Amino acid sequence: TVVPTIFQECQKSAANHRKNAIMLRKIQEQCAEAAGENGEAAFNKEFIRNLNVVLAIKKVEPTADRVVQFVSTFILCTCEKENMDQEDEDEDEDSSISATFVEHLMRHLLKGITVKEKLVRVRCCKLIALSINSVGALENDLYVELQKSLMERTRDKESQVRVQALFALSKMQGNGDEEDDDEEEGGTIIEKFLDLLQHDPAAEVRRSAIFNIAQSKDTLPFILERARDTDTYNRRAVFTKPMSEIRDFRMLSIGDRERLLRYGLTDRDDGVKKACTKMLATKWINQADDNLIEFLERLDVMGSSVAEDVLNAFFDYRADVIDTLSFNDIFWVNLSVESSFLVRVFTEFCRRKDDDAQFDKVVPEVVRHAFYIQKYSNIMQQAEEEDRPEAEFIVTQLLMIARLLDYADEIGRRKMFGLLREMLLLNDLPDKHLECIVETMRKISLNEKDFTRIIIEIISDLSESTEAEQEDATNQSDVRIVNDPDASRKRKHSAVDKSRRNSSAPVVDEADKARKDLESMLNKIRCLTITKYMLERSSEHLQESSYMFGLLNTLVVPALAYPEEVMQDLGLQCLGLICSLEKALAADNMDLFLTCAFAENASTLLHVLSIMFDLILTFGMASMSSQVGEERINADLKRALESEEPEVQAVAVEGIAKLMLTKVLRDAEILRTLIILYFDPATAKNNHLRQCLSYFLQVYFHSSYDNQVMLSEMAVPIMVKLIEMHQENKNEMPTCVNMGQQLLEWCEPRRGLE
Amino acid sequence: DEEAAPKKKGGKTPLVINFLEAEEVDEKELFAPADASALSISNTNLAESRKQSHLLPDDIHFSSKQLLRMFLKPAFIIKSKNKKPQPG
Repeated sequence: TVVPTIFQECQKSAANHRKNAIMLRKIQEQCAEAAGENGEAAFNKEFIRNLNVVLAIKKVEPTADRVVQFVSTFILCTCEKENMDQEDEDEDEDSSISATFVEHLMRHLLKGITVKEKLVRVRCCKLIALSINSVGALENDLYVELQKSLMERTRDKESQVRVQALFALSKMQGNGDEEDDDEEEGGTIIEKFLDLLQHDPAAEVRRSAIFNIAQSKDTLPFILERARDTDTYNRRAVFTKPMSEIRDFRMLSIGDRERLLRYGLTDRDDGVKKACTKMLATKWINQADDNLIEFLERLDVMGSSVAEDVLNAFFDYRADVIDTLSFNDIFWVNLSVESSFLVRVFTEFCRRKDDDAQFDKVVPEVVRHAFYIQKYSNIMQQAEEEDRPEAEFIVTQLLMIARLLDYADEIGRRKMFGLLREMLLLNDLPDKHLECIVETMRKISLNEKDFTRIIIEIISDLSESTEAEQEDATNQSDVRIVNDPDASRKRKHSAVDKSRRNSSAPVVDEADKARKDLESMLNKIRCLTITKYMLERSSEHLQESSYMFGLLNTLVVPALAYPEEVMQDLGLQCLGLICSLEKALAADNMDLFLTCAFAENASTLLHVLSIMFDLILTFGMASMSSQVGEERINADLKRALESEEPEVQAVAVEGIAKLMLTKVLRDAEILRTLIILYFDPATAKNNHLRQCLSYFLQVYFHSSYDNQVMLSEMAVPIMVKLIEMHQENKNEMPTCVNMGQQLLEWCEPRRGLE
Repeated sequence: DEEAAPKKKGGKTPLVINFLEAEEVDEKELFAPADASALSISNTNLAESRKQSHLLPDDIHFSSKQLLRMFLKPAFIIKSKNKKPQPG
């Protein structure tokens, strides 16, 4: 017959498949017409004979795959033809040719999926997968049998077979009646999918699951999780397939959207980043009617930590959209949370790209911008408590833009300066506002000296004004209404109240006095916060700056004496920052810092460590230990390394890494501790620490031969210690061989970086 | 009883399956059954692999920049040589 000729043709290219399939169908019909059932059987036999030739091929061959493809094309063709015929004529034939054929073929393939030769299993599973959609209704027991065998194949030893079995099963997902048959063993198809999606050791099998699993409320969380799969292609697949095709990304919770986008946009692989960007800039935006504002509304920009990255990725990818953005007066007077966020991120984007022309097109003149800040600041002050966060957010965005403006124009400069100065005197500004204002002030001032003078003046105005107010208040305390309507302050009040409770103030008659104390403390907190932001932007030597010493004595040092943690921490931070400007002052205060290093609460400890590291890095170990002794410092650092607080441990590691890299510190014992910590199962969850060490240790050893010598001298005792640890925690540590190899790798002199 | 005679002419020539002269493939041999144990992953191995979830830890993107920054003043870069921080 001609059947072999047709098969012969089909292996060459997929282009002729359709034509050949029709031809083969004709032959099939002829056989049936000429010799009835016998003819059909002969055709089927001949078909199978040819198919077997392909199945038996020992290697992975594109030609074989092509023939397999053809077979599925033929099945589709023969079934279609039959359906059309049935519509035309009345259904007179009791059993159609194609149905008999399909059943024959499926039974044949079913035999093939449990055989010894793995490629036969692969090809049989694949054929079933490719055909199952086109065959129409199968006889029930055949269907059940197919499904059952395929389920078994999902635990085939060959990952290839598992891939194809999954593929085939995916076509049977949601066909409903699976529950009755499979409950005894292995559960439903969906459960099988979830199992392989999460745990299959072969990345390609997990990928097949990512591509083929049906999306539902139950499966989505597990699909999302794959955005952190160890396999790069799998991570990318999550974005290219299921997440691009998701009907509406609001099916994901806000938290899931955040996580997914963060994973995608910060992935170390560019391909994953691109896939994620493409998904959001072409698919997801489309779901929001191609409207950026509407899109942002679905991201919860106020609480989001990725919305900014999302927008930046979007601007990068959709240069076409950038030109269509326009920000006119109407835009500026009608700002919303989303639109203010949009324009702020866009201005920063322009600045980063050095696109001054675009930037100038977006932002208003300085005077105008100051006017807008004023407008929204007023709205904020008059806002009801529930509207206040939104109003604050909008002002924050405007202040962030203000940092980027060009202050060459004197009128604009003055206008902005006046406004910001006034704003600093306002009650209860969020920290972010204070920071932006201080930063813009720095930009407006002539130089650092000017800047410091201005800020310190403002701070002293602030302190005086409240003192005056207090006196005022004492004089007429009877008249005043105690009930303070300024409810928006509650947040800070309660923060202070909380820490106050420990100090158990004598609860006497004077609620009013307590309130005033609170006022005065809030005011001090504000002054300290402003001071902190100012100092963070200062670098000049103090010299005789009486301003600064005044501040130190009247504000910073007294703060340390307060029982409230908020005050102590701020005082400590300011003191540390001032010390970093003045060596002698720093040396004098080392003792104080070391004493604080015994503090129990983690936040104080973190501040103290940060301060000590900065000071030692800035002025050197010798001058910083002149009064307290190097041993005491080292002992404290070691103690911090062993802290039970993961954050403290991480900061200690990071600080010591800095000291060692800059050669300020060189201590074999500390180095040993670091290496042990790196492998210690107790730090497994401490990402900050682990990632810092993995980066640091490599750089440290490969950048200097001396450091390698230091390691090689103590490598054996370290290894002994690691082996001991390994015996107690076999499952939570790398194998001894791996750890040994890592040590050797660090010691390898040929791996020098320079 | 080898079928089809895979004609391999050199490394890159694609295989041509000769259906016209192909001999009958012995179905018994083609479908020679395998031991159940050789075919599937054992339950113990399966249980073992279920412990693995093949996920990466959260990435905090630690980089050299972080080691060169001051703790309190992140805008300033450590300069080890002249020991005076410069705005960065």
